[in-house]
Amino acid sequence: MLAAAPNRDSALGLLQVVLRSVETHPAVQISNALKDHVVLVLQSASQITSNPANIRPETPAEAIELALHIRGHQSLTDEIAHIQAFENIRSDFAKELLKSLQSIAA
Amino acid sequence: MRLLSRPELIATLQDTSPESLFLDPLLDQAQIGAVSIDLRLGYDFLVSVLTRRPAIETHPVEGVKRRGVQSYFQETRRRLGDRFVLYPHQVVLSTTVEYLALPVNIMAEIMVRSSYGRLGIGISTTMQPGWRGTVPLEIFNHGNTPVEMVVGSCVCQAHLYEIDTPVSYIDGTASRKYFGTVRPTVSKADHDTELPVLSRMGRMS
Amino acid sequence: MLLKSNLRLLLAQLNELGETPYFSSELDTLINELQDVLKRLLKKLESTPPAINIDIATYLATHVWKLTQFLTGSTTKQIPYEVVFAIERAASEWTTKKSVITTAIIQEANFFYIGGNPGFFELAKTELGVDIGSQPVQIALPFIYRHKPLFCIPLFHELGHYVDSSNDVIKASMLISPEDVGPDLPGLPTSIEIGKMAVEERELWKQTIQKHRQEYFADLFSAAYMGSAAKGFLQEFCPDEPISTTHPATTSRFSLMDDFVSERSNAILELFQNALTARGLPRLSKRYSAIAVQGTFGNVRPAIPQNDLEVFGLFEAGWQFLCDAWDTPNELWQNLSEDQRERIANDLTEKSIRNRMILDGWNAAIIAS
Repeated sequence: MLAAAPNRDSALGLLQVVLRSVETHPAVQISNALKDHVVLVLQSASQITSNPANIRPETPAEAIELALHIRGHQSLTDEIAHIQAFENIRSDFAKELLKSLQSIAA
Repeated sequence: MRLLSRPELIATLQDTSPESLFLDPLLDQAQIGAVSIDLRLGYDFLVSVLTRRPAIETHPVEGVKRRGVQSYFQETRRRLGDRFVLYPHQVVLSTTVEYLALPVNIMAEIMVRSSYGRLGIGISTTMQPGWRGTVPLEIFNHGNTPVEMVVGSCVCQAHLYEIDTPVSYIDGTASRKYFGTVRPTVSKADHDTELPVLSRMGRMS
Repeated sequence: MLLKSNLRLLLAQLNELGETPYFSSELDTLINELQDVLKRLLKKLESTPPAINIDIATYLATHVWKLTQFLTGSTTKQIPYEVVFAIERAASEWTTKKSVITTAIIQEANFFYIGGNPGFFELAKTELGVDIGSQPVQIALPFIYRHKPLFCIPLFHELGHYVDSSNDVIKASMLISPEDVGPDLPGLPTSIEIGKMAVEERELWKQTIQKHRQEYFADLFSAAYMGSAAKGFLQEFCPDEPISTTHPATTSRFSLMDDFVSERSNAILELFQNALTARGLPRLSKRYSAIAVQGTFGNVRPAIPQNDLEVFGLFEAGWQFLCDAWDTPNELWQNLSEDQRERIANDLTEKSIRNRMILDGWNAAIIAS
């Protein structure tokens, strides 16, 4: 009760791991299910950033956390808005997003 | 002194007045026998352990550092239905599942049920009128074979006696060491008030 | 080399845990699932080339390790079953997944409540095909409080943090009502003032506001189950703490809890209710029933709670009883020392909960037979 709320491992840890792979090992295996999940997170974050009323019970926790993070970063917000498939995630965007997420523990 | 029989046991258990007999939880009415109530093995245990000390000291020698009685026992907990093994010649402290509150005119004698006595298990204790708490069980395996007991099984029985003159278990004059306990407690023999007197006698003679 | 070695060592540790005679059987399934994760991971790493992304493998291994750490606490023979029962019942109202609670008894004066990482569960499913069916939750409480349920009231505050963090309630609230929208929090710059700040300064206040909201939420969550005892414990523990970057002043916390318990409207509470609704969670409300203990505890007998609501109610009732018995004991209790009053009040609370557990378990077993 006196200690601050525990710093739970960020829900963005999974996203960071995948982005690292995109940045450094673009050809290495990531399952289609995981790719779909990452795209869902990015698209949900984009929808929430533009309108928080889009938050739903089924919205992934990662999407909420990501939306809160990118809210003040226009370039990231714009880039994410254009991601419709995993293949749309460019290596340099992955690097930029990873850099901005550096302070968050995986 | 009069041993209470089944109809009286049932009647006093059903009486909800503050001074009545209280036993909870009573999981099965069949626990109430002709002249006794079966009680269940509880879920908290203090298991005696060997240490490097030669003996448990019931009274400290002045100026000499003493190992507390608690350190000769190890605490362990179970759930109902779990197993607990009692090894030969081992002392284990436990309590009943049931919390017992005795009226000021009823005392209880607790002894092992025959089914467990035949396995070499010994349990015997007395609860004074006015007692509150789960019933302490000092369990000893007299046999040469470990016995596996089931937590929650009816291992002992209580005979309740009505006495002529009510007594107050707790009043301002006496300090009751085990009052209101819900788990086994190690011996507080070292709190007995005559021990310092006896120590001084020993030094004076 | 190190990754594979760690995986094999973790597998051996999990095997040992599963075979410990005193291990809780409820955790067997979780152990098996974690073992499955490790075995499948090793198999993928052992193929040439590895059939799994190395960063993902490392991430999975790290989280299995974290989950294994607290599992060892559940082999202790001193689990506070009664407190865990109350926590489990409360937790089950906030998640659809079955919570599996492991307990660690620690030496420090602290309480923890940590859940598994959602990213780990997602990866285990997508990359290894292992769907971990339960939500592992780890609680830790001080050794000296293991038989003191009334002193474990802070665990419900911690449960509030867990519910928040696992559902991102407060983060959702920061999106729905950002720092420059409000509601204003006591002792902090107003939303209008924040809206005029430079980006860097605003970011700092955003973090502070988020942390304060987290604490207020956890306080209200605790009050939902513990009633006035949530405030009561805090009054005993830290009656006059000033505001900090991580915590509101305790006077502000008391004020909000008072409003909640008294069912007075409050903008901060409404903010949380909206966020909870957005996340598909119940609204904060009183989640316990009052239970009278004067006649039972006052007579040094356990109470007989009839249901879960009254089990939760035991904490408020027990706490109030202890406070009263401490200052103005009745005829029976005045013969007891302070130490005995504290011990017996806690023991009666523990026994009341345990008897309820036993009765529930017994009746369920009778029906099943």
